[in-house]
Amino acid sequence: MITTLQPPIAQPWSAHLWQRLGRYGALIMLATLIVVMSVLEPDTFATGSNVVNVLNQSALSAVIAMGLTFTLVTGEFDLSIGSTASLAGVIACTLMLDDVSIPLAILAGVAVGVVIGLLNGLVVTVLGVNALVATLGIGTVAVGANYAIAGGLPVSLRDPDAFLQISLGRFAGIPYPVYIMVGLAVLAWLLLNRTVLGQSMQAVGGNAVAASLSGIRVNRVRVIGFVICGTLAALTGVLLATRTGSAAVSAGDTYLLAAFAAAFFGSAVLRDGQFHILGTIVGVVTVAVGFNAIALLGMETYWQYLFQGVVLIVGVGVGTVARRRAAA
Amino acid sequence: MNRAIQTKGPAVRDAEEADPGQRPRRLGVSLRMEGISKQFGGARALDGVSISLAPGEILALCGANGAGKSTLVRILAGAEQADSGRILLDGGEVQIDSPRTATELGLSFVHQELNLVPKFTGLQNMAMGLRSTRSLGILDRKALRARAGEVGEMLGHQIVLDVPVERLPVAERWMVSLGRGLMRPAHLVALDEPTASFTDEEAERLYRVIEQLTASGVGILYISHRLEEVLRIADRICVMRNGSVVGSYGSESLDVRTLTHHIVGREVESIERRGPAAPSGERVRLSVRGLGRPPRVRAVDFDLHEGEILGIAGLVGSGRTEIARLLVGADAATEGEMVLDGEPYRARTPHEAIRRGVCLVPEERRSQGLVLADSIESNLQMAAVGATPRMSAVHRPRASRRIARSLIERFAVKSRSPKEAVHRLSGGNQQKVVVGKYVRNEPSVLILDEPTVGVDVGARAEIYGIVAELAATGTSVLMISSDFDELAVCHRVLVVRGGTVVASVEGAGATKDRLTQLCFAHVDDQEIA
Repeated sequence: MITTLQPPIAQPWSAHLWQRLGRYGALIMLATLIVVMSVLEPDTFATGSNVVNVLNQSALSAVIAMGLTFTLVTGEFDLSIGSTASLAGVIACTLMLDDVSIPLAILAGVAVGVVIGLLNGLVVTVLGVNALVATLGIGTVAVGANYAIAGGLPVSLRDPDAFLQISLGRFAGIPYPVYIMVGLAVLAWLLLNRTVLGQSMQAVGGNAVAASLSGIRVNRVRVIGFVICGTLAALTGVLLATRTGSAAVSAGDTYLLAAFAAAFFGSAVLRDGQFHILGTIVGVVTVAVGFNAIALLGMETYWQYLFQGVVLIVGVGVGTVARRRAAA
Repeated sequence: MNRAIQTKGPAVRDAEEADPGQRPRRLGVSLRMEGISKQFGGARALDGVSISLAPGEILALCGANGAGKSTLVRILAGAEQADSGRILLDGGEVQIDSPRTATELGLSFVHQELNLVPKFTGLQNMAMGLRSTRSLGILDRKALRARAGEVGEMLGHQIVLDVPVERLPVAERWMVSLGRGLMRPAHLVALDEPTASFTDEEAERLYRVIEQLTASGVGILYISHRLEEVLRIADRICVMRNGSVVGSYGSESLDVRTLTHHIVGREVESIERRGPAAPSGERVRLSVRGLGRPPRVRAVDFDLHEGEILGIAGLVGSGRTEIARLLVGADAATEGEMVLDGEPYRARTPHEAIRRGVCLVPEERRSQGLVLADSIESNLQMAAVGATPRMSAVHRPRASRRIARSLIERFAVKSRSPKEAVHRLSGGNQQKVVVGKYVRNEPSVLILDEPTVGVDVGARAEIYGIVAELAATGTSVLMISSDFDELAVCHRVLVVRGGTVVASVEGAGATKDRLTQLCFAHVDDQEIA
């Protein structure tokens, strides 16, 4: 009769090696960076306070990149996250200037993200507009709304102390944003890996037709992906405002490409090109460690851009090449 | 331009360049492939395979899925590079390092995976890869269209030239694909499963084309799982198993039974003819009245009983797939009513259908049934995920893996582990995964659309076994097939023509001849459902 489970055929060692390199290459890069820096700057880099500092620097990028990961997992993407973050910060700060309480203002800011995510999702699924065009369009509308509210000027709080505490406050020596990042990461991981919704998202991203014929409500799943993404983008914008007590019109812009870079870098971490939460976090941390190293070594700021670009290409490139070699 | 073709020994005649209007006088070339080996990752796909083909000869490659036939053809086509071995045309060694080189050598290929651009029209697809006949790379549309017309005439089929191929049914796409292979005069044509979604009549036309081609000296390399067809048209049959050639036979010396034996390496019981034996239940499970979505489907009436295996026979374009899509809500019906287990049933989305236990194993497993890059395990859980009403429900990976393992065992899916990616499995095993994913939901109605296309003889018998077993436990099965022999497993067969059911034939009467006649309306419709 037929044997069901066949013993693995011995793979040539080279294919094996390439496969390993594909999955662990990105992690090896991060580890190398940490080891080299620990040797070069043992007194400033390899200290507890610097580790906390790096994680704190990662927190906001991580939150927005995790949100983006959800849309990427469903096979879509979102170019409006930068504008969403900016708008949410501006709205929260404007409301606080009008004496709205801090929690309510934060809630309103985050609600902006929910609405934008919903719009993105509906335009993509109901109207059938390509995500590139849809999110670019909605994002541009968000920029317009932003200028209408703030007139292009930074919105600064008169008495920001309580608001600033969200970024500056610490529990057990660790700043609140780090807890927020870790907490959301755990939630996001559970959502993606331990709920029917998360499994549906992965199926939709893998093959939407097959997912639909399997009974998965493809459009609904996509809309939810956009809503999660918009919500976390807005949260990032609000948290960004808590750093300075003010919101600038284009504060969130840099986060757009940073989030994409982190998520794509992360798709090469431990997986064969699939987006996942842990990978995204590794992507964010790798960039943060690099920036930290550049600062500690006293290098010019432009190195940060060079580093971020090179990390993205090398991380994803090595993974892609390795996968091809492993399959050949 | 850089010519990648190096000829040693006698020069190879170049295929006529480009001008689609003209055909060269002498066609045909002798082909030898010697000691071809190819390894993918850890798997050895080909192990020292040698074949030869004379001008005007038809050589069939037979073997179970995963035997290496397609890989061999892909190497000849320049789509893959062999690890070792050589290819000789008219005695001269050639390096085929890209599909372009293969085309320039006069080798033409129609692949198993339709390599068509979905958004392009039939004509645009057929023009792809041809050199322009005017300067500055401008396509001579008039000449192309004329040539496409000629090719269509040769095929005895009016190829649909002006509709994007994504809107065409699979068999029509095949015609475009076939036409593309003949746009440029070829010395050798390789056909990979060309008739898999054809009815006999359509296949007959193809055989006539092949006859014409061989008469003018063109060699044909033919891959097919339809053994009767292979025995009928091939001059020689080369049987492959696990990446090696196990034998080469003159087709007169074989019959289906011995050939099957060579392919599988063991005896396979032929399809059991069920005859009029009653289904396991009497109760009507699904009652369909006046179901339609004009213009493709109209006024479909039938009853499906508990435990019944009901076949649907029809020609390409008869609306058989469209009917199935209405039953599961993949398309919304605009007219008619359905009753499932005594309750009104209105499937507006596949989600609703699956929650009521109605599942469709789709026609194209790779593009519609599977997430190819994902594991067997996660493919097997997809319909269970889709049937869960609450999306916030907890997903339990361990339970999911346990169920996956039991399904793999139950359906004898050959794999290394539940974590293996499905694109590494053979066609038959992939199909078992698609069936398994729905069976996991314990469906009350399971619809199978062309369940054995591209599936080898052994796995095919296993799939029939699964279907029979499901029916015996009360599942109602609806099976669509172009292979009318295959419909012998059915208790009853509905014949579909022009988007509606025109006849219902009891099992014993559902012979291939009778079904073919009914499909073509050569007889009066006496047995209206």
